[in-house]
Amino acid sequence: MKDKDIHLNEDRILLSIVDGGELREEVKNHLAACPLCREERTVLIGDLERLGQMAEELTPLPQKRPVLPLRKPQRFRLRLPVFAAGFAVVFLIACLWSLSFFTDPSKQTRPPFSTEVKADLSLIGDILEDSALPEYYLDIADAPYGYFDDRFLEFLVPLGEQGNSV
Amino acid sequence: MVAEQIHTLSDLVGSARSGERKSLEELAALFYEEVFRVVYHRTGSRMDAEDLTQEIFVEMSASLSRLREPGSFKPWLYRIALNRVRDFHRKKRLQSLLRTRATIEDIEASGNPHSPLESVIEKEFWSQFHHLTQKMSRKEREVFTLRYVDQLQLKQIAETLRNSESTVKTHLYRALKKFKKASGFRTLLKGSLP
Repeated sequence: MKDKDIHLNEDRILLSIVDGGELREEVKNHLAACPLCREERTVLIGDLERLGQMAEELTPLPQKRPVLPLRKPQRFRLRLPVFAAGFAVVFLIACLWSLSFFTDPSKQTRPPFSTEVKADLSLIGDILEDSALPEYYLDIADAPYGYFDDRFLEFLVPLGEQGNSV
Repeated sequence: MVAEQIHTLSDLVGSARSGERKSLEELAALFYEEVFRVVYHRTGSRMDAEDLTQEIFVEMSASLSRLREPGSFKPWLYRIALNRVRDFHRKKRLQSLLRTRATIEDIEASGNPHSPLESVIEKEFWSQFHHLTQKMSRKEREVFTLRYVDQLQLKQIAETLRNSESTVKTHLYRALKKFKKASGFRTLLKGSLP
């Protein structure tokens, strides 16, 4: 059986129309040799071309012309996002501030700042006193080095005549 | 010659994109009728097509600066047009639910100075065309209309619909199968306008 006796089925004819110029070699050869398949394909292509022509012929021409809007100045268009971003930041800060103000009760019961400073200064004063021990313990803690008296220290680290260590 | 035209169009788009008013107007004049036809093929009403085309060019003017490739201006413009048409049909469907249902008979005469016979042919043509495309899926209908009514190439269709060429070919093949079976419409196509 020759090639031209096996006709192209509907799918292959439709695919050959879809593909357009990119026909496979075997399809091209068959179409060249088979007038029946060529006819079927040509009629379908003709109908599609006629569809395009009629659509064009039966489409009216527009009666209006396009009116293009004037473009807004570039400056304004650049500023708008900046304003929006600034407003968003201010809004966010305001939200955070109001949120922390209403949700932290300790802020409302805290003593005034000046009172806190006074208490701190008094504590620092106590620490920096010459001897912060109560009077009762001062006798016991009289010697600056506890158990080691001056003689022991002289033995350990002899001083020179002018009071310098040897 | 074709390369020169493409180069010129790209230049024109580039210039319009940078805010040159004259280039923008030139671009609108160049594509106005083409876009009008695209919209008319999908709405069937001259007045609606005019209003929508105006809106499409306003949108084009506003968002042209966002177009990355001046070379793909046409598919980009078609995409705007198709989106506008889709919005229009959505709105119309909503209105028809609230009021009376729109039918294919609503397709108005084009307003061209035709004879009564030509007007009948025109009405019959669009009626049968819409009847055929209603049998297709949305994608098949879009690909078929872009290819054979708006006369776009496969590559341009793929760019417009943001699909691959093979996907476009698949939809086109299915649409052609339905077109082949529409013997009544094909008979109408064979008869020529007087």
